[in-house]
Amino acid sequence: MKHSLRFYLQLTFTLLVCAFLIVPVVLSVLAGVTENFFVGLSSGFTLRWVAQVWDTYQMTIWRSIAIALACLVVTLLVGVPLAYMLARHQGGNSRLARVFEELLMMPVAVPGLATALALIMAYGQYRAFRGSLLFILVGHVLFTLPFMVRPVLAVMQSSQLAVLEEAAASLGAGMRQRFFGVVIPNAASGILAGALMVVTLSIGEFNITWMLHTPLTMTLPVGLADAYASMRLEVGSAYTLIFLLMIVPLLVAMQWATQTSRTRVRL
Amino acid sequence: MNSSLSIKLLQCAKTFGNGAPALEPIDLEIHPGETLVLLGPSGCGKTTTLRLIAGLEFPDAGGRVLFGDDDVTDLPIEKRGVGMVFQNYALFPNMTVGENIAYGLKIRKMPAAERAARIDTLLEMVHLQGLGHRRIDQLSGGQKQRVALARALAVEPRVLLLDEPLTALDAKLRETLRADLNQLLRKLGITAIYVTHDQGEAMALGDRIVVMERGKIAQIGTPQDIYYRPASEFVADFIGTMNRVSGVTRVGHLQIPAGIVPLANANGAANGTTDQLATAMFRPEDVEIVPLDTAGAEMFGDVMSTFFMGDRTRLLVDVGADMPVIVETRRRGVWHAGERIGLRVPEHAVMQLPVQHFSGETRA
Repeated sequence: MKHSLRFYLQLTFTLLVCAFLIVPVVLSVLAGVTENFFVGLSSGFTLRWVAQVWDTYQMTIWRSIAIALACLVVTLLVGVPLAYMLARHQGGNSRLARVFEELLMMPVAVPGLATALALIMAYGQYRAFRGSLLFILVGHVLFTLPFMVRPVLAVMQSSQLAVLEEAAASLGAGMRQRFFGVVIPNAASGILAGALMVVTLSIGEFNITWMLHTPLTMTLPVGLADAYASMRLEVGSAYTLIFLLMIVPLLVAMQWATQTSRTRVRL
Repeated sequence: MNSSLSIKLLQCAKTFGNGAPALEPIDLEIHPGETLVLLGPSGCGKTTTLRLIAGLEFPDAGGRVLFGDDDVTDLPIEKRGVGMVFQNYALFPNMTVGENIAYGLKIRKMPAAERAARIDTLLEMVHLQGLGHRRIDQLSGGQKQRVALARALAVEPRVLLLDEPLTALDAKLRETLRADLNQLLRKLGITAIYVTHDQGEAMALGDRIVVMERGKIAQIGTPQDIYYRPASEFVADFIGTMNRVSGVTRVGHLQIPAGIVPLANANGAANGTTDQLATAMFRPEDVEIVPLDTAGAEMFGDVMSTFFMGDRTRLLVDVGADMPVIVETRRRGVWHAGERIGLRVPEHAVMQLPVQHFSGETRA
């Protein structure tokens, strides 16, 4: 094997970039299981901090999972029919559909703080709503909805869905039978990709949630900020470790889902 | 499949959102059990016509669609009881071959055991025995279209609609499937409407052909009518290859620079009006090549180029007109460019367009 100097330079650069990104994560994880990070690894390893996080912040973890799942349900119920409508109206007078699609992306482009402030200004006076998890759910749905609509729309556009529906209709299938028997199964890969994306984003969402939360509706990322701000570094790091353990499997699943959807489209 | 259905379109027009009429108001009657082919170039309105019959489009106000005696104008496709086959198969990728075929039966709530038996019958009908459990992506193009056909026939539709079903297939497969399709349609005696831009398909499958041009019906007739008696220049040009020579009418023939073409009905002469400008048309396969010195030669020309096509030879012959005359002969022989040959067209093979079209836009 003979590689040019150029190859080795590129390899070195790539490895350096990787190291630059990964080292902080590794350090953080190590800090979470070290007895005393300022003394160093020689102080020994412990799961004490992880246990402390579990005791103190357990609720934020369950809350985040609950919100993520609720967010998933809402984006499925709203996003899939929405993508279907957009896909169907992209044929002739597509202008409105395109504008709508762009508008849908707005909460992603606008800083989360602004979105959250707008929500508080509009609905802050409804005390019960303001103090409930529902309020945070609304913020999460706003932010994650486009990530459900986009992949579903893409699959619907690439799989000659319109013709499939016409075929189903010619065989006597009504609107509902077509939607559940033909549209949904053939958009499944997009729905799966969107679902994983929504759950991942919702679990990690900080900006909007930080503005919207109350001490009683603290989520995992907000709790994490709280831990770093008010506790030992080791506790915050142990918290990060738990977060990573939750989020990495989701990311892997997402990668897998997009891959299968790509092979489906090629067929 | 049991009792065949007649279909009538009455003053059916279709204008799409952008305001351009896709279909001028047309009247069309499809007889029970016949295979009617809608033929024309892309954008001529043939697919729109099919979709109006299917119930995938609805005619502009005033148009009516009748199935037998029922007015189905306002019924959507799922209520019309039609079977449809699409150009791109439109098979459900999330279902097996068998599930695809049984989809319509399932919608109609046929019991599973009965469905299974029906799937087997249909698979046999389209020569796909034993493939019921295959996935759709494991099938070839030809097999896919056979499954689509079986799926459409499974629900025993009152009419079968086929939208360019063979276009996506390669030439050899197309021919096999065309033959099978032909056999099947005759056997079932089902009313069928077949859209294609391929004249070979139209001739082979159609009991009658509707040639369409820019949203209008140009001609309706049997394949023989369309081929031997085209009603307009468009039809003459669109179907097969047509030679066209212009000259002056004399008694019994047309005088052209390179000779004469016999005119059987001698339109001009019959009216007592000779010495008129006129155009005669004839098919390449009707032109005979005759030796130069015989009395039979009626036209002379120089061979411009020759194409040997195996079963026949095609010659382009310069007869001093704008366009060369195309000659196709099954005779074995070798002709060379520049060679002077004699030609003869039998009287019965010469066509003239009806006079009303004649004075219109003529493309000489």
